[in-house]
Amino acid sequence: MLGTIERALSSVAALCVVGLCVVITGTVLTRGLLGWSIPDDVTIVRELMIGAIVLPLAYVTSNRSHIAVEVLFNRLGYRTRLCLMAFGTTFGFVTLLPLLYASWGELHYAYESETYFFGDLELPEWPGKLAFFVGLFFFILRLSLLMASDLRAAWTGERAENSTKEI
Amino acid sequence: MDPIVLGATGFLVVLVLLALRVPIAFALAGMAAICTLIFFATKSGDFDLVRAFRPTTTLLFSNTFELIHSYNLSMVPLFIALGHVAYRAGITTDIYHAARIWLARVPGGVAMASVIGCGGFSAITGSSVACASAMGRICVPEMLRFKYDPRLATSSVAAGGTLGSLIPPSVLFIIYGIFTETSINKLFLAGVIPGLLSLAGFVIVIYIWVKRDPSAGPTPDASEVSDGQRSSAALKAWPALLLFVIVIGGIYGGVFTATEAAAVSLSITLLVSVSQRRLSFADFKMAMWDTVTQTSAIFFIAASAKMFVAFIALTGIAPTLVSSVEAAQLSPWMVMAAIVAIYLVMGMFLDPLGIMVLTLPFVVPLVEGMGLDLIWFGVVVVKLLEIGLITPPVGLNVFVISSVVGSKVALERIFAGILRFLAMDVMVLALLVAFPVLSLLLPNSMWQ
Repeated sequence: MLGTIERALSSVAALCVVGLCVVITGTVLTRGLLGWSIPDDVTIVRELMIGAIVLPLAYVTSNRSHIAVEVLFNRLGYRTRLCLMAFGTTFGFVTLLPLLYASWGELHYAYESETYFFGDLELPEWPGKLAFFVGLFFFILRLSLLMASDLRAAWTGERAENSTKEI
Repeated sequence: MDPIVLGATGFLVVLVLLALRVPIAFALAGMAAICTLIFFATKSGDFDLVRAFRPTTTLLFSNTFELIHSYNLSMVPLFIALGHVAYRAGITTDIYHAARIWLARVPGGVAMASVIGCGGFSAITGSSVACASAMGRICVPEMLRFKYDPRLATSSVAAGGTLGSLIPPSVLFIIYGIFTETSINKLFLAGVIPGLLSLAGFVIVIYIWVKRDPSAGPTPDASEVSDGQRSSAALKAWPALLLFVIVIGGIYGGVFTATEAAAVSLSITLLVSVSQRRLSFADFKMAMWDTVTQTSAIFFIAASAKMFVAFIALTGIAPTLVSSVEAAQLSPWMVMAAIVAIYLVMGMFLDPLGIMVLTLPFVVPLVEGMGLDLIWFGVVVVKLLEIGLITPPVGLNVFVISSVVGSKVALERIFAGILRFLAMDVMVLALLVAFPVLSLLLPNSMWQ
């Protein structure tokens, strides 16, 4: 279920990248050929960026695609490596929780106070904040599952979820 | 707690966490959160975590959100998408195939074509590792089939792959531009001449290597190539050349910004790929999938680094460092030599993006304080990071090539071949440091 949601979020992110391309190319063309540009193009691009970047974070995490330094790690024993992986995911989970809390607060504020971007279309601020919160929520959720799996692996000595690359 | 001590401790703990294989983004964001909380909790003498919670979360959120919520940085996913789409459509390797045919009769020609092909690949994509990986799969087996010395076959592509960071578009230049608040347009232009200089240097290394040992790069037997084949190969490479002209020409001529160049290039690549039937819908989907996962991982590191930089700014450690260096009355060249040494050592162990985000908060104020040009310094930093990609024990590009060739060539032999290219890289670096005009000529003459 979570995997399906993560893939769906990544697909939306891919559409956001296509959207970035369409809006910016459209602005260049209309500016060059017609002398005008798409209204609020800068705001639209900035909002699409949130979707393009934050929504795939859970999928990236599920594949353990976050970049790490492995010079020392590769020279350590199997059990020690399992323990270090568990430490890494636990550290990430615990220290990134405040960011999720803050993003909920910002979403709540943007929705309640109906804040919007200045411009022709007066676009509301909450959709970008919602995309940010949703991306971060599923990222933290996936991280918590990885943490549980890594802690179990460190305890039992068995391979953790999706850890083939590392171990 | 003294902010300077807190800043220094935070930095050291990040290094320890990295050594323990905590992902770079987790280490930076985590330590930024912990240290910022301690900073605000101890600000007024006592220790009050509850009072510190709100300013900490606000600072973390605003730095992350504002970095991602950026119009200019939309060029990152767009350039990454351009690279993936062009790769799936076969556009990135057209330059190699053309050079391969044009240099068919030249001793060591396949190795030279590989390096030139890497240059062409780099002009479309912004990643050194992607360049080494993609070109390695094509060029290395071909050279081994022609009985090239395995050291030359592997090391030429590992070294050529590093051009991905210097020849624009380059993800490292974009990240450098974000953290130093310098013009990414100018950085892209500044990378052109040093990139071409590095490329020429690698070709010279191959020429000398094969001249001294002709068996290292034999001319293939079936190397008779007609003029028609040459013209056809050159003509087939037009989309790759067009993309380079759009990005560099468009920025240099002031026609559009780097962000607009990224979007227009991607649109043209899609148009050409579909009209020439070089890209299926399945390929396009895969390219976009790779784009979003790669972009997300890169931005997560950049956002985490932004949080950490914000914490470092709170502590005031950077100005203290600048004052200490000024008090020591070190000449700019001594400081530069120290910076170069630090980057070379770090390059042996850390990944380029990690080195950049860890060092820039400290190094840039120093360089700025000495009145040195940040665009020129950006080129020097990226060149140093490129060198780090092929230096033992953790030359990322060497490992990439090693994974491509498997057990056919031992890792030690690839590193043995790399030494000659490394020597050339150091010479090019010395030229770039000694003659800033090599980097600044194009950005200073661009259409404003």
